[in-house]
Amino acid sequence: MIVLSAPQWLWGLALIPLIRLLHRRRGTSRALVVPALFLWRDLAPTPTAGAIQGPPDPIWWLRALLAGLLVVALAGPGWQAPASQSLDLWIVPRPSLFAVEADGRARLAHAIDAVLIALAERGLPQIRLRDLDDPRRGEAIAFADRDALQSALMRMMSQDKPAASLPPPEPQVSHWLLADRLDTSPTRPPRSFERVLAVGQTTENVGLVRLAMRRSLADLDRIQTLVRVYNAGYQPARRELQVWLGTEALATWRVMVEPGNSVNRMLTFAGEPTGLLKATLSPPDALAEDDHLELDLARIRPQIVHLDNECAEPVQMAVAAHPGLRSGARPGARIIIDCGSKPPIDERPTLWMPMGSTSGPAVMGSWTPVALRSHPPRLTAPLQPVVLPSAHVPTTPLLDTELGPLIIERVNPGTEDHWIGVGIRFDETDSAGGSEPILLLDWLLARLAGRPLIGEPLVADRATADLVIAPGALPAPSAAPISSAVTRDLTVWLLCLACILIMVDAWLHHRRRG
Amino acid sequence: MVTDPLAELEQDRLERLVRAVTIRLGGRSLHAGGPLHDRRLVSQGFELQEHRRIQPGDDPRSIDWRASARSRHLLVRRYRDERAASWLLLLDCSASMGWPNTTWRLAAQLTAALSFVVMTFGHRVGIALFSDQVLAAHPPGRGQAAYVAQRRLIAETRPVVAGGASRPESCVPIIGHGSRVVLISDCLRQDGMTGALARLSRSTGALELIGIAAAEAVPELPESDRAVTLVDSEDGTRHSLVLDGHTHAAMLAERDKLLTRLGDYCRRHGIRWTMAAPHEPWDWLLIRHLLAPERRR
Repeated sequence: MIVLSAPQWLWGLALIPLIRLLHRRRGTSRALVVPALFLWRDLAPTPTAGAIQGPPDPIWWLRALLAGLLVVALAGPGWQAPASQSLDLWIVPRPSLFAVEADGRARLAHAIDAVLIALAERGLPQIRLRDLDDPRRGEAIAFADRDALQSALMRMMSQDKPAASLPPPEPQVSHWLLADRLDTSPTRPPRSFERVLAVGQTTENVGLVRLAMRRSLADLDRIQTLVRVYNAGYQPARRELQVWLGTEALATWRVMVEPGNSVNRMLTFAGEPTGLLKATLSPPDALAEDDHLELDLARIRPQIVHLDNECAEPVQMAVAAHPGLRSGARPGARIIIDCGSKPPIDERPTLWMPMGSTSGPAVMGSWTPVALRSHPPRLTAPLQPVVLPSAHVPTTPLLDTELGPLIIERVNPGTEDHWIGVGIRFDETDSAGGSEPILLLDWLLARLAGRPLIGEPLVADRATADLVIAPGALPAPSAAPISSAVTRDLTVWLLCLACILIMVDAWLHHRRRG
Repeated sequence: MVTDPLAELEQDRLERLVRAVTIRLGGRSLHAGGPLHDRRLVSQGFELQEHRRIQPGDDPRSIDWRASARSRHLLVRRYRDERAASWLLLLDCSASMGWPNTTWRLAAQLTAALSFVVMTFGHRVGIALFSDQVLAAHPPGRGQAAYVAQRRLIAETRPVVAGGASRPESCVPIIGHGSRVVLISDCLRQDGMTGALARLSRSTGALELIGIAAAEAVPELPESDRAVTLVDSEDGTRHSLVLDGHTHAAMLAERDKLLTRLGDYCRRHGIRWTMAAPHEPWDWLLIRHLLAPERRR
């Protein structure tokens, strides 16, 4: 494709008809000496000073071509290698794109309109959506119409974004940016954009940034709840905040939130932790997606544990006393406590505590520095070890002594095969009556459950930056197209051709004059 | 490149020309039938030419009494002049003689050849080169030395480059009394050279004219270059027109009218004249001119 760096010079082509006119008014240059001019003097002279009107000299074609070549050379022609018919459209997948503008349409719809108009001007139906924070994450769109663009953008905005499967960005492809604001990020490499499509006008938004709950440490039957409202706009906002348990409204507050500030509300209620705990804001504002948060109360319900009857009494007492555990039948149990002599074969998480004979004097164990998800309790009393039968599978020691590992863990990645073997006789330990067995069991069962059994708050958070919908600063588009780097200058070739034409013209002139 | 306009003037060709003229004259004088160069010197000859009535001033010894008795009038004898006549060749060197250069070449050839022929017949020949004034002259002489000197002078002369109108009357001061004058020119003057001929006629014993009509003065031009500005070779004036077949024919018609007027003038005034084209051979032109009947004034 031929491109011109200074196309205004092409106006010079309008002078070509003047060249033809000048070649009609010719004859002034050729002087012919005659011996007696008086013989000619009575003949009709030409109307103007030696110039006549007539058919143009055919050489005007050559000179017009020469002038045209020079004009085009001044325009800076270049040959741009045909770029791929694709366009990299970089987007910043912020929740603000879901904001509703003053006209009632979503900001995303405005963005799609801007993209479609720009694509129509450029004539590029093929685009690639790229995440500005992860260039290889995105989606290629073969034919960018409204539906395809909307679907692709929605996928980019969703939680399960497309895989990072795109090829690296190519320099000869046009790069456009579609965003409402671009916050600085130290991890984001600087990029130049041929075009920046800025969208968004609405600025006011209030949303929920935190919903947290936990069992009250003072009364384990009560649940403490915290709700935080944040104003990301420029004006103070008044909202009605409600906390729901299922369909029952637990509390309603009218909150006034200053711009850039947040307001916390706390609630303690009693009840069986079932259903969903929700917090909502009303009336809805520009971005309704951040007007509610919810938590599943099931996550703080006691874990159902099936306890083998062969287990030692301190273990049974510890399970019964633990507020985060509840004994139950084996089929519905979440965790199995197996006190048999053989390694567990159940697919559920199992705490294996074989009731074998002691294997020697009490020893002090030391925790093996493996990747533990939490700090184990500090054991202050000597432990009475039990010889653990061979499990015939690879295990990892968690607590080691000079006699061998006392606590081992079997984790088969990708499966539910997870058990922990404990070679300690709790009933014969000096601290059997103390709190250490309870704390150790709590730690081991929490490790099998994957979360603390009690006291951990459940939190649903939302970043305050995600609530900001006011349009912000965007980078300026680059002055020259990024793809101009592959343009080859044709000026020299045109000048060479013009020189050849000049020589041809001189030769023809010399030949005419004889 | 300067070429010798007399290169074609070979000696044997000149001698053949002399023999041809001698044979065609049949023993007559080269200027037979024309006025003698000096009427007062006629009686000094020995060969009787005519009788005429006596006039005041005639020598009484020249009365032919026997013839007077027969005619009942006093008649005196007139004798043919036994001395050589004096010729002066006037060669036009104005700028127009150089356009085209064939005009000048033929004029130079005619002048040198005529000098040779006339000297061969025993006359004295001088040459004068002129444009608007006398540019060079060689006094009348005869013999090989005089011819060689005159030929060298002609060969070394070229028409003036610019300016220099044709004014043969500027040569009147150097014309000897009773000399026969031959004017060689293209006759391109608006008066058809008649004014100059009238002036010369009053100062010469006899006047002849060899005119060269430059028929090829206008080049053939391509159609795209026919709009030209014509420049006069002598005064440099300009005139712009379309040079095509029509204008060329109009110019030739104007020139023919000019030459017709010139011919009429020469006939009326008894001037021997010959019009030549630049492509004609010089020897044939001289035969045609020298053997043409001389008219009485």
